[in-house]
Amino acid sequence: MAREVGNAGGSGFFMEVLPKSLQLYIIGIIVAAASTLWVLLPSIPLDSTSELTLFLVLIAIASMFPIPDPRGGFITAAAILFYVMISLYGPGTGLIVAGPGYAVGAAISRRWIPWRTLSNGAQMGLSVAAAGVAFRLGGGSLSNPDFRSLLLPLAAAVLTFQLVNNLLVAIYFNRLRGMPLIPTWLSDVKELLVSNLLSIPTAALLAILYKTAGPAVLLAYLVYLPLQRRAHVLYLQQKRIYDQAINSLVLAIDANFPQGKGHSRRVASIAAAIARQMRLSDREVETIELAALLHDVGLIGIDMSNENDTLSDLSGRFKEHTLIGAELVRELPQRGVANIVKYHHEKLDGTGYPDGLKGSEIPLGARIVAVAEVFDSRLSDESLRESPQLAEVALKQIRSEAGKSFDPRVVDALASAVMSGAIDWMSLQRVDEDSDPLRRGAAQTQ
Amino acid sequence: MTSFYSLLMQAFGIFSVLASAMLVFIHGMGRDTALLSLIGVAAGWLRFSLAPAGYLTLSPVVFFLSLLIGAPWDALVVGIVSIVLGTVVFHRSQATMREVGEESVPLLVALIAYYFAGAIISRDPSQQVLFPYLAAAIAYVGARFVVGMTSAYAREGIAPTSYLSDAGKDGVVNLALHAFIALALRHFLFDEYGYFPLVLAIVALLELYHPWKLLSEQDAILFANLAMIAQAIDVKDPYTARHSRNVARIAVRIARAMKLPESEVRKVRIGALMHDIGKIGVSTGIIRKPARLDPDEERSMRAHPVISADIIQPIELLEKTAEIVRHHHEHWDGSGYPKGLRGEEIPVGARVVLVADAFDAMTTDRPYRRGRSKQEALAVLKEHAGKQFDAGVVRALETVIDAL
Repeated sequence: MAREVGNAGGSGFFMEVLPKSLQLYIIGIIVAAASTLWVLLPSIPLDSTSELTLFLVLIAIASMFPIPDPRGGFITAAAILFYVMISLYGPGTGLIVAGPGYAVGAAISRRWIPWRTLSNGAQMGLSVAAAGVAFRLGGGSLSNPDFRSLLLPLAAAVLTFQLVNNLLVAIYFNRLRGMPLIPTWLSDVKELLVSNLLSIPTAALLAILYKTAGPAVLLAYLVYLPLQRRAHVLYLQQKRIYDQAINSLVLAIDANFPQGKGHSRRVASIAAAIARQMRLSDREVETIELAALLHDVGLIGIDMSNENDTLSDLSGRFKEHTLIGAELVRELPQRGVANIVKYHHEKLDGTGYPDGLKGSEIPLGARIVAVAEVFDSRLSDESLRESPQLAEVALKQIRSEAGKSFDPRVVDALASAVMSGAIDWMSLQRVDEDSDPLRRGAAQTQ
Repeated sequence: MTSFYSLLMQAFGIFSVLASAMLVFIHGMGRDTALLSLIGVAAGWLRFSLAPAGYLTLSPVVFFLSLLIGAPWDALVVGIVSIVLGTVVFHRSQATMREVGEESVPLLVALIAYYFAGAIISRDPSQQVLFPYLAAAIAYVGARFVVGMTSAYAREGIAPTSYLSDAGKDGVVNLALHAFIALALRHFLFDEYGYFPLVLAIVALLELYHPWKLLSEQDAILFANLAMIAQAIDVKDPYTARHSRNVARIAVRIARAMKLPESEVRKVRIGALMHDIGKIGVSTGIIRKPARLDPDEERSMRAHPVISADIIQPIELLEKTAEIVRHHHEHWDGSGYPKGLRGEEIPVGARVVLVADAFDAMTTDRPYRRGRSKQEALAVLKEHAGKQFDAGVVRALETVIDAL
């Protein structure tokens, strides 16, 4: 589904103060939409005025209530209506119905700012028209729907819509805020493609039902939208409580630990950056990040303050924290987390604890957390704080242990992540001042 | 009660699996039945929990469809196959014979209704499909409701009224919708285009229901996470290894026996899980100390309800729970801490947690004494009812003590 063209331009943002190149772009896109409409006009079934009007109204309504997407941004439920409409009435309807409908909905729910409304409508109209052309070229038809004649053409349409719409939005933001064009485009496409492709069956079903049961099915879909919205809102709320609960726990963990405040969270950020650098899947990165966040959870149950203990008592008890931690984390439904917590003090040459595992016997996630933890400890070391080449010094120390304590590939990934700026010590330190996980998430998406 | 119910349902589950195997053996499996079973298994992928008990899948849609497309006995086969294979393929960890039983009772009830209704109006050919179908659908939804209510009552002590206002209502609405959807799919899609749009429809339904699956999974993750936090505290004292979770279990039972609304039960559950989280700040030496505490130690121990509440207060939507945690050491006669509240001034959830906490503490073995029996512990609680404990809460505990 389509990503919203955000709330670009708050109050007082009028055409005069826009960057010149954006003004040109907006005029260009409106001209392009108008001339495409001129070309496609003969193909529009103007005898179906009442059906097209229904689509216009429904698209406007659906555009008025953007649904928060669990992965960030908003979902426009109107996208499914676009696909249904172009498969029924052809590409021209994109410009004459989808664009205006979307622009009206957006203007009602947010604010009527002439230049924004016009360019929103033109962008959306062009994207939908392009999708309609792709559907036609792909041989799409509803006369005898099957995989070849409906699903494949719809997939082509969805893909085209996605590419064109994200490109136009990327150009818009490139002109407005100077965001890099191609990277913004590609990352938006990548982020939204799956949820968009998943909407194909629903769109195909609605299109078939529209033919056999009539336009009333669209109303049924419209009734579903507020329910979907409610589920998404509840989900995000639940996730926020979860984040806050994890946050309380992390504060409690760090309170037990000499390296103190922010350690767990910094290790989590570093481990996630290393995992991403090693091109692990999103799921694995998530698992490793959670495990890194909780890697010292076993310390809560361990009392290190008894004066009568000898040093070896203390270190023996400290070593137990990996086992206790793994036991605790096993409560969670996410798999793989417990073993990372258990083995994050193993060393590559088998001299670590608790089981003295060697090399690849140690889970990759645990090898990553081990490197991330030692990197954070070195950087937090007060004696090194003043050194300007702090990260380089710490990296050198870690590199000397690569192959003995640490997995060389993980150390390499750490080094590249530091070089590329994916790990930035200054911003990591800010994380512990501001340990609200929500704001942390916001900072990442900016 | 619990074990009898579970046994009955398990026996019924085994019976219906055998019965459908026999049906396949005698009649063979037609193309329609095989295809519908396959679709039914796929529909079983989507499974989401209903609060406070029970769950839904999309398999009923396919069962209803097969009632409309094939012979009624084939529908039974489709229903059982999609339940059994659906859970085995997608939800192995949760698969139990009891659930198979709970899901197949309504299938059989629906079939019986179908035959009765068919026999009544067999003289009017125009209504031969629709009327029996509607009768079967109503019977199915009704039977699911009754089974769900019984299960919730027998296994978790949820009163029928609370079940009706949450899971029961949601279940009935969704299942009725499924029956209607199946009818529409048959009428508008299957008659004209065959199986292709049916598959499409099931995939689309899975996508449309997906947000609820996410929501219910996230709820499970949240509670697992809270349980982990509770466990992290309990590890400080090996003799209270599962204390917080036991207290949560007992407190939930008591709260349900007191007929508190499910929203309140949820708060009690979270509050009981979190009640000792403030002990993070109390030294392990004090917590484990078998002897009487000196005044300093006593003071730091007494601070823990306030610390606990302060820790969970910032967590949105848990503020109400924080009140339960803050006051879980207040006594009915005002002799407790931190505020010295008395009687009804103490939040009801806190009174419940106090009793559950004391009951679990008394029945657990300690280094310096063996745990008491449930009845002995109850006798002690009764003795202090009206002084330390709320007599109403203790009475509620008495009614559920056998289930603990």
